[in-house]
Amino acid sequence: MREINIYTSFFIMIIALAICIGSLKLSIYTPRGPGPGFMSFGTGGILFLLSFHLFLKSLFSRTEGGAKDAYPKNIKTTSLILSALMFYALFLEKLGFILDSFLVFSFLFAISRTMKWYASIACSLSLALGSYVLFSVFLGIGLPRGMLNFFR
Amino acid sequence: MWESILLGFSVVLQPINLLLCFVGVLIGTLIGVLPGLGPGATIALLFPVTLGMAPTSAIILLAGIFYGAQYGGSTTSILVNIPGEAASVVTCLDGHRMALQGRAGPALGIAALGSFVAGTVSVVGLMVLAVPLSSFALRFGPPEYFGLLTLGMTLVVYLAQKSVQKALISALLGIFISQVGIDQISSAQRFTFGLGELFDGISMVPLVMGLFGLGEVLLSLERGISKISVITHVKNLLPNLQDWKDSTWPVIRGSVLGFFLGVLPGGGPTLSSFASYGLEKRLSKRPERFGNGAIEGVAGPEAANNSATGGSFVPLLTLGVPTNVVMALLFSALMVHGVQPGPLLIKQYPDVFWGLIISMYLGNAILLVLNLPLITIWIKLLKIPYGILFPLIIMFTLIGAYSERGLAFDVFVMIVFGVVGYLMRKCEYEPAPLVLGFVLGDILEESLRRSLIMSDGSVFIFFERPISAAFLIFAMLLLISNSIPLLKERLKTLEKVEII
Repeated sequence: MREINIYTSFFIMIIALAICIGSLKLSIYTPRGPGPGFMSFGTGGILFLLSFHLFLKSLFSRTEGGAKDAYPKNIKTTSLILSALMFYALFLEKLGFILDSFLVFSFLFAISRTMKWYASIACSLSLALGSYVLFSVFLGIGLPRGMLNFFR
Repeated sequence: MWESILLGFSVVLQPINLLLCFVGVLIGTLIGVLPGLGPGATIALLFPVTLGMAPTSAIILLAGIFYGAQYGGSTTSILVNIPGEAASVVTCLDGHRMALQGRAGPALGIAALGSFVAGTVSVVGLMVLAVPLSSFALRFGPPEYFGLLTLGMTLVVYLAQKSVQKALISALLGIFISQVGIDQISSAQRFTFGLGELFDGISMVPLVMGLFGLGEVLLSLERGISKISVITHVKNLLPNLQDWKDSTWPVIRGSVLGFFLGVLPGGGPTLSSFASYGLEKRLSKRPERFGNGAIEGVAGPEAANNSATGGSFVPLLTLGVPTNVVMALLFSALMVHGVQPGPLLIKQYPDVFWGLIISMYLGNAILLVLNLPLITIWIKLLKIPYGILFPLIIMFTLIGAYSERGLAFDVFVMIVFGVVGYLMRKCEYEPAPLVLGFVLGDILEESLRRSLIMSDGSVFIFFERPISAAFLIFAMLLLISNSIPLLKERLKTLEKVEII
């Protein structure tokens, strides 16, 4: 965990510095009182101090302990899922909810390897159609139709 | 008081509200039973569905999910040894051991009955405490709110399960995220990078869905919880006379302790269940039985976590301060419906307040009737492989993220926070303080800036007013008390170094 703490605290220090610089560009204090950058400057400042303290503490710490679980495992599956979700978000409005969901869920079921390919496709199709009917038709949530807009 | 209770009944007994109460507790139990999707993510998912409802109906549905999940969580803990909810972790210790000894029935029975008693106690506590606290809170101005929120944030951080320093960092990141968007006082754009989607700030639903839904899925896939063995043989759900004798006082103590710990910011069901387990073990004449199937180890914590759900509503409804993630979501749900949680809520919206209280009482009764006969269905649900469950959970998070504002941008936000939530858990940063910082950030900033405008920039305004001074001094004492053991440790190390 020591190594992880060094990396994360350093990363947070950079974020905190960026917050402080961003806040300085906004006005921190005006003649009428605290400006729009006041709170974020304070937050960034305290964040910097805390992460700097954690950084130094981890750097000079002699105990390693608990590092086993800290590094990501199964990176391939995680990356595949995240890529599928990015695809989903990118094409949601173009392809529409049903088609986009069908494609992404077929892929997710395929990587989960819990059922045969034809069952995965049938499951994804019924899931995409079923959730559209439930959320859009019954619960009134506006989901994009995309390419299937001609069904209107 | 009786007129108000009758008003509550008249609201809840409307068919639509009764139906929503039933649906809420059923969904709550379901997500409590299934590991992977907690009440926070579920409430965030159903949040957009409630936009078209009346405020009372919306809050009845969402609150039902919260306390329903506490009931459901115990089933998974007892039968599978995997906590369906964080608050049910302790129940695994003795509950699952009882199940292995062939006593799954009494464990499930006492969990449900104890929860019902605790739920009733917490509803009564809420009724008794809410009205005087609201009257007291009417004296609060911006400095008092700043003091209260600072104390609340400090308590959240102080009660962190892992590192206090990391919890504070999480909370500060949350406060910063709440700053994104157009400033309400000066109308200046803050950290929007010119993106129109960020003018209104980062939306709560994708943030919560990402941190608690997707983040949890990614972590579960990595840990691989697909291979679970479920105890399917459940008989004699009603505890015997000896079980009752052993459990009565733990249930009563758990109910009272849980309620008061629920009121504390950062307290809530998880802390209450741990505290109750510790208390019962300490009071027991035979503490060695704990961890080996002691029914008190199920009865106390299960009562405590249910009672804490009622306690959590006290600061939300009377002070307008959410104390945990679920309360933060309910706070947003009320705000969206034009209902401002706080001291004026009971006067301005008695139907919302009393309707919610009575729905919690009825909901607890529904849960008792519903849970025990449906045990076999919950057992079947637990056999669904995670490979099928996780795409479903992801689908809910995607729909939830998109549906609030109808923007694909929010799906990206959800994915980003999913990765953030996953990494935070890996690096032992708790996501809950981040959400609370995010929710309270706006009010904290507004109260701080308004106070400084009132005092022409003097920070002494917070110490000149007794209520805000008391809150801030208490917060400082908490932080100092947390630093003392660290200082002592450091002094000891220095002494050792000098001796060497």
